[in-house]
Amino acid sequence: MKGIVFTQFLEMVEEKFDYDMVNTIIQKSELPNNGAYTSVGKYNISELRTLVYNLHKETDIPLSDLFKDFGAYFFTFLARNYSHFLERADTLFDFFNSIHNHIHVEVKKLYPDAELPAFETLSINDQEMVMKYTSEKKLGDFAKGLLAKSAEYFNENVTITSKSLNESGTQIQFNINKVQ
Amino acid sequence: MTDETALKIRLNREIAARKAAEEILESKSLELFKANKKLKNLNTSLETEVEEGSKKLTESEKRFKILVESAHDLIYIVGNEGSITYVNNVCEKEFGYNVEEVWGTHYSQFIAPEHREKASDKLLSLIDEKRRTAYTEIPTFRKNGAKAWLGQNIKLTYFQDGSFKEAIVIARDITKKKKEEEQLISTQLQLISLIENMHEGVLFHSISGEIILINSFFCDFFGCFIPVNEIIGKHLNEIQHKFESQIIDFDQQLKNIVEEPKKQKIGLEVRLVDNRTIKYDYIPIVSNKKVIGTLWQFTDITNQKLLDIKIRNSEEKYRGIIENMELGLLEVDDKGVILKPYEWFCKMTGYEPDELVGKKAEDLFLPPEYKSIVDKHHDIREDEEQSVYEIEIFKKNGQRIWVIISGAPFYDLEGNKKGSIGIHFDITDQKRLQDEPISAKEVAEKAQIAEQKFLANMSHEIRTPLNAVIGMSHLLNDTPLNNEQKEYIDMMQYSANLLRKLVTDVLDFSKIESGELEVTNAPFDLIGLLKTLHKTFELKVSNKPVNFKVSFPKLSHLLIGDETLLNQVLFNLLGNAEKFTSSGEINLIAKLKSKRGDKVGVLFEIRDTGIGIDKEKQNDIFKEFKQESRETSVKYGGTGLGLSITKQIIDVLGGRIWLESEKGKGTSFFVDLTLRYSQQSLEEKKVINQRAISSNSSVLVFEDNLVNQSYIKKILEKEKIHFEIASNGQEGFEISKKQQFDLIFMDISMPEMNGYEATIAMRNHSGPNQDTPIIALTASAMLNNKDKAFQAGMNDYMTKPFTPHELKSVLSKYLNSEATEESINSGIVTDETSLLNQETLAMFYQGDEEYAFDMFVLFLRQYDEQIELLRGLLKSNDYKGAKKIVHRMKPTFSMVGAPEIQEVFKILEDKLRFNDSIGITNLWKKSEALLEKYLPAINQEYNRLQKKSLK
Repeated sequence: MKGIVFTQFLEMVEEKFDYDMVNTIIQKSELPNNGAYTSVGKYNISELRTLVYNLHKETDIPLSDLFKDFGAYFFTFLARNYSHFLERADTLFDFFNSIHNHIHVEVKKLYPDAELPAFETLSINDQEMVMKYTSEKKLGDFAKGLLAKSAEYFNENVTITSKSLNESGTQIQFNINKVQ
Repeated sequence: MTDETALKIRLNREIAARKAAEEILESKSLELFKANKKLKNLNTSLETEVEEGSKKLTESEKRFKILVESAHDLIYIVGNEGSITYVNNVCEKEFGYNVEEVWGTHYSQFIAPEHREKASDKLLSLIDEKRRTAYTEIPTFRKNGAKAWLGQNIKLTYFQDGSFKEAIVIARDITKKKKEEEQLISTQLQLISLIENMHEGVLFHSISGEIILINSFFCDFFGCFIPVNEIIGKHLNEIQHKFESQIIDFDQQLKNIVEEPKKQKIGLEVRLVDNRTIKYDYIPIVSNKKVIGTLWQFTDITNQKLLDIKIRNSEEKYRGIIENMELGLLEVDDKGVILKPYEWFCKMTGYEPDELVGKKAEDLFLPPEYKSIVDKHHDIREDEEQSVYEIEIFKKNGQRIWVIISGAPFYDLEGNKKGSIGIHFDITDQKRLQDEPISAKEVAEKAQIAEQKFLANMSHEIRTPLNAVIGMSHLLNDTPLNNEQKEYIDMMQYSANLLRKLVTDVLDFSKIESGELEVTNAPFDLIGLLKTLHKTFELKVSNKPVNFKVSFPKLSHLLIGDETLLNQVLFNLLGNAEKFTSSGEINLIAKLKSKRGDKVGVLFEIRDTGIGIDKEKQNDIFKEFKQESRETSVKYGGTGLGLSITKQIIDVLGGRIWLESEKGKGTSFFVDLTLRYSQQSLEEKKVINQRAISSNSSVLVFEDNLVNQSYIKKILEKEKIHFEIASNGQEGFEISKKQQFDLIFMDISMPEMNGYEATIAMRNHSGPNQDTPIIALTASAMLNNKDKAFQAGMNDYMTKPFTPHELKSVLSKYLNSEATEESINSGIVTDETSLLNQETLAMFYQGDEEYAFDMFVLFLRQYDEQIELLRGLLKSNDYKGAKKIVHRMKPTFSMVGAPEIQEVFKILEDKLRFNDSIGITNLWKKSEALLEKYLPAINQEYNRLQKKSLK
């Protein structure tokens, strides 16, 4: 997993709580690099899971919420630094459509070693969009958070429901319904 | 933890993070640098490659260019718009076009106009199919207008998107090849056409049996109707059955050929099952001592064969005819050398054919004295003419024979004279005859004389004994005879009369045939003739239920005509009527039809109710020897000459005869004659007839035949005429010198001096009998003889045998003197109104009335008894018994002046003999009628005689 994810997480923790918390979870996680993440580096995802777990331990916030919030926080970061992707899409659904075929493709061009989930559009109409998330990292909640935040960005009032398509959680179906 | 510590930790962490980032950055930089360098290197090497590539391309382009430019083939490129983007200078060198004028021009401009569309279609289809290569041939023309053909190898290239880029063409001038090809095709067509049109069947196949060539004649002939082009290429056994089955002895034929397969066999003949004949050749095609193919050809010679047969048959026929005619044919060449002697010629001359061929005809056959004749005829034949001549030739055995030679030249097919052909006919016999001084005319004349002599002799020979028989029987009949004898005489007379009739018929016929019939016209009494016929035939039909009526014409004069012939005609027709009518009526009607001057047409009709004549047979009835049918001839007898003779007589008389008849109903014969009125009236004739023969007359009879002598003697004695008889001419002549006679009867054939000679002698001798009428007694009535008689000086003639009546009329004719009834009716002066036949009575009793009375008594005494007996026997059908009585009674009737009854009884006796019950019944009816008629007359006479005897 790219370093940017780690750095952003720690920033969120620092922003949402304080640096002490950051410190605490770092120390508790017993990381190989002692938490000296750089955004350009590449680190093991298990380290992230440990950090999130320890945060959960410290705050008693469910893991899924932690991931969800992180997703929303990460979207904001992405929107700030890569706004052209958003500008490209006219509507939320357009944006969602472009994730897999456009955005991730461009990302891969710059960062060939990026491990990105597959985000297929199963069905799309004016009301509802059904997408399928596939990733070994099982970061469904994180994805949900991203999606929700993006809806906010597009000023769309939607309800997002997720459904696990398998036991391992590597495949999740998201139903995004516009609310009128 | 303190803020400071916390900060320190964070700081350290940040520093560590930054360092890590820097490391990454550095490594990434290095990576980048390396990549860059690589890229640069790549770029450079790429540039070098491109440059080299370009160089290479330029080089190769140059080379290709040189190649292309120096090629002998025309090379050009057509762009996708169709214009020529490149062309090598062959276009100029070979075709006369400048490169500049070709470049940029549309390719179609160089294709012959008529081919353009085809070429463009082809190109388009190639492009459609995305073909890369192709070969085409197109017609083009050189700059000078001359036509040329290009054979093009085309390579087509396409853009990446598949659209057509350009076509690169390498073209070769194939004009010559094309011409040769066309020539070949044309020749091929000609050959095929030739083979197809041959009237020979052609089959050429490889040794393996593959059919290489076959023509329609072959196929059609054997009834194989697959088109020729479909058979070619097939195997032989696909069609072999077609001809195998039709050829007789196919296997044998094949065997003969297969025995020597490499040997050509020409002109073999074979027959087909449908009788066609073919002549065929087997020609093996040999290469390297092996048969690689076989040619069969045949012609249909069926017609020729037929023709041959016809010709041969015709030849045979004519040869046969010639041989049969016994004509000796000999063919010689120009020099007279024998080419071909025919069978009969060899026979005729006694040589074998091989002994003659090649020899000179003259040397073998010609006697030297005839050489000039033969040479002359050779010359004639040189002039290509036919000639005929007679010479003698030598046979092999040295014998000479006369031959008539007809020679003619004969020619070969080109019309050149090949030689002569002579027909020899052996006339040795004829030549011998020819030498005798009798010409054909004389021969004919001799023949005629011989014939006449024969007939005359036959006449004489037959008639003399016949005359004797008849005459003697008459005389015999007059003598007292017992019944048995009378019976025999009757039979004899009957037969003799029949025979005489036949002989007369035949002789008449031959007389007429030889044109001997002579018409002598003299006044005659037609009524009297008809009356005589009436009497005669009334008697004849008395035995049948037939009535005979005569209808007399109104005549007061005599008529001039030939009484004898007319009598013969009517007698003949009446005879037929009588013969063929068994019941009913026969009518003789004589009518005067027309009058012109002294000519009168008389129509005689003889009508009967007899059996009639079939319509179909009516036409033939007058032909000699023709009777109505075989049945008729068998049933009724006769020679069949009667009607023919009748007709010929009528023809001679200038009259007409025809008939009307209906089978089963009856017949009518019509005779139409033109006669002339005589000045003499009937009355006068009667007087003449009644003139008595003077008892002072004296007659000299020249007759050598004793029988005839006694015959005449008896008659003359009866007539109480004084006579002398001489047995030969000389004797008679001597007698004639001494004594005058009133009449001389002269028999013609006598020894010592015949009748003619004696007559001539007497006429020339101024003796007492120089002018005495001489009557010829001739056995044959041939014209020749009569002429001769008259020429000799005779006045009249009588044909033997003659009846007493005939003799008497001649006597009365020439010895006329006052008639006294007494002379005629010498004897009994009877009641002229009596029915009884005065003549008979006179003949029998010669005036002896006492004798007559005795006879009458005898007759009447026996009559009643006999007649009753007879009636009884007839009723009980005892024909045998009845016949006996009839026979006994028969002669008695003439003795009482009823000869009519005697005649009837005579016929009745015949009928009884043959058990003809119907005839018997009819005849007895007639007899009874007659008896009833005559009996009163007999009784009357008896009474008269009785009165006389009592005196």
